[in-house]
Amino acid sequence: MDATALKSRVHAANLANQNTPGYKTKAVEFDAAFQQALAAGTSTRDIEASVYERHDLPEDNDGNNVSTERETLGQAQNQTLYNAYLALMQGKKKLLVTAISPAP
Amino acid sequence: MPDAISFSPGTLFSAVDMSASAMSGERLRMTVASENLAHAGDTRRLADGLPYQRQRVLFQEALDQQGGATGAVQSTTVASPKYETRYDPSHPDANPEGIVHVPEISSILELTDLMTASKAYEANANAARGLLRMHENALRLGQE
Repeated sequence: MDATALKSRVHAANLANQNTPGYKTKAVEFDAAFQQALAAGTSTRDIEASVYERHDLPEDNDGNNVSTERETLGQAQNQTLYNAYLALMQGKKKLLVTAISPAP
Repeated sequence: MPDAISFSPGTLFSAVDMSASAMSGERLRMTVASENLAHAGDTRRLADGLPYQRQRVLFQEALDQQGGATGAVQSTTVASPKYETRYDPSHPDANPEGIVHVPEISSILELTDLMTASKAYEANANAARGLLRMHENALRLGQE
């Protein structure tokens, strides 16, 4: 969930800089490391999300490579994920509350 | 794996600040474009001896004290003068050699700028709205 929150900030930063000459799209590296840890069966707790610049995207004449569409859609997808994680947490919380409340 | 860069986006509401910085930048761009359009053909000489200077908005990534990216954007207006010269000694704004300087302002360029700025403004407003909705949902965890 922290990685999703960071991603939303990165998307906001990219959108804010869509007209900044020379600006390169920023992206968050987390999913690949997470998948790797899952596949290897190691702990996923210590994985830290890091931010890097993407240089592989097509650039405008001013050296800027932000695509408004990609950022907006990425942001929307990210928000849905965030809400899904929130729903999961909500479910966990309900379980806990049920467990600690006295039997009727 | 690509090299990580320094990115200090701060906390909760900093993402909304990023969008806000971009929105004011885009609004500045719209103001400047309409100012330029209003001054097209304005030949009155100012204190520096030349008529109105065409303005442009320059966007720069805002950095923190350590030089890391904050994600926000800094916008400044810079003069980018461009003149057409015409020989017309009878013109009241002609210089002693009889040359009139007319600011070269392309209405197509300014109007396209106006359009892209307003679209970028919208995109950032939507981003801010989405972020606030995320926070609202997270805050609702405490209820019920």
